[in-house]
Amino acid sequence: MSRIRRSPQVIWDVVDGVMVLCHTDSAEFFELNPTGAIVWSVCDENIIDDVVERLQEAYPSEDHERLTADVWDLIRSLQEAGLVQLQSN
Amino acid sequence: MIVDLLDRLVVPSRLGLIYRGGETLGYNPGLNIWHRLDESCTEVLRWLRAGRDRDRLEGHLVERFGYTPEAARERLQEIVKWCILRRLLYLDREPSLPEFVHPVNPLATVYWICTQACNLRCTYCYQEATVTRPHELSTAEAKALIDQVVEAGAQTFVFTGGEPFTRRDLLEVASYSKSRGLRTNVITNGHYIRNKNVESIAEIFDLVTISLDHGLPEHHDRHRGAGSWERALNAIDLLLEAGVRVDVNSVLSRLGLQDVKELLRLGRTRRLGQHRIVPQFPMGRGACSRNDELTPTELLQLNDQLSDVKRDLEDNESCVTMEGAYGKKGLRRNHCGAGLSEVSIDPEGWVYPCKLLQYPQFRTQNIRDARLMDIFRNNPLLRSTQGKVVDTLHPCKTCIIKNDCGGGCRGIHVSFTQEYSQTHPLFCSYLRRAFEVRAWGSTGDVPAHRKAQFHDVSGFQPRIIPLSEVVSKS
Repeated sequence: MSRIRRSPQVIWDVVDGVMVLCHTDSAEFFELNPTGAIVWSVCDENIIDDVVERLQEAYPSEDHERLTADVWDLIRSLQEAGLVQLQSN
Repeated sequence: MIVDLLDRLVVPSRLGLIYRGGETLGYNPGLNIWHRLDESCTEVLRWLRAGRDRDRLEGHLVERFGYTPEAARERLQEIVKWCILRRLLYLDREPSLPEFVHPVNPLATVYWICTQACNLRCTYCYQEATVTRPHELSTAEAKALIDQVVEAGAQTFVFTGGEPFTRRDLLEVASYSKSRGLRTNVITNGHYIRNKNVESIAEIFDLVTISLDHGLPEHHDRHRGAGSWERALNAIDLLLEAGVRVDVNSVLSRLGLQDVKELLRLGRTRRLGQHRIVPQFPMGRGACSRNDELTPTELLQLNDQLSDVKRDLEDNESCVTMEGAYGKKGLRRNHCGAGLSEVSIDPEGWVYPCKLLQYPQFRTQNIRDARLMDIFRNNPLLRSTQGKVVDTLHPCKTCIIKNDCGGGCRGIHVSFTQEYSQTHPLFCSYLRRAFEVRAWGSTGDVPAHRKAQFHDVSGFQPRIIPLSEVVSKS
């Protein structure tokens, strides 16, 4: 079971309706789409299953397996960009 | 951690702090980005912009705003983070702006002044339309022109005039344009749009733009002729009923200022696409009726005034756009489009960079003698206008809003100066005010429709998007 932790070097805010992230070490900017923004807002100190549950609440008609796969994809992308860290319990 | 960022902060070149009514707008002109600032944020940016000692900034906030040291540190952290994320401050270095690259084939729209004839004699007609010119393009030549437009790669063909509906073959030629896959539009006074032809018009045209200048018939008719207001409004309603997208163009004279509220109300009660408002400028017949123009003071107050009117009408989702509202937050614009994204062809086939630049010095070649594609690509005069961008135009290149206005409408500048490369200070001042009003109007609370749409299923898959430094637009 992996716990997600936002990188302390990341700052973020909703700017003109879009979630913008900046990795302050590299000064790189990223945007998240609305669904990604939900994941970002609930991911810190959480496990993937909990994040999926929160997303499922926002999209009750979405297929649970697909949601899980999509969230994993995003978390991996965030991890590759150094925006989150995954810690095994 | 964030306080450590203080030493890494870089202030964007020519960062603007625009004051208005006790509040301040932060403007990064390189990226054409603006945000409303509170007092402490303004103070921090002013301090950094002035190059003052950053180690004393926290203490300055304590003195200036009466914060405790801890609160000042916390507030400074918030401000730094807020400004970085909004590109009002950079980290480590100012990113170099990507060069503007115009598309290989930028030509998007061809305006064809299909006739000089008009049933009206509007006092400010830029085309000075009266009667047909001797050698206007025949039906066959008009269709050949459309073939050339397709060949040149344009996507939109706009019939204008004069009054396009005075051409008996208008629907035939427009139908041909549509059949060649062009988005086909017409700009008309609406006089000839009736029950008997509205269905055909609805089938052929993607967009009909009606000229309606006033909210009160007596004012409109004084400039355009008896009965013209009623005919224009009738045409709008007929077209909307037939399901056509209708835009409205309004030329605003001094008389128009008196009934602008009624005009906007007319637009608001209908499902218009866009309602474009352009102040009267000294072009065409308008150069002979300059008493009707707004005074400089009226012109400079116009954007504020209309902003107030829209607020009075509670017109939050307004389709009204003002002359000068060319730019978009976060997009850079370096050219007005004359001779680049559009060209204009006169009734006899002569090609000009823009319909507002039909002066002898801007006449290029005739489509009867050369292919439009070749004229567009090779004519020295068009090539010259295509290369006149804000970074090279002498008066524009040092202007703080150049990346927003793209130099403004060259046709309007030329109407004052008669020189393509010159700008007119009054129009520039107007553009600056228009920018400020628009920028202020788009800050503050995020309007509901721009908030993140958490239930937009079409964009469901969560994604991360590396943000490019800036989006450019020619």
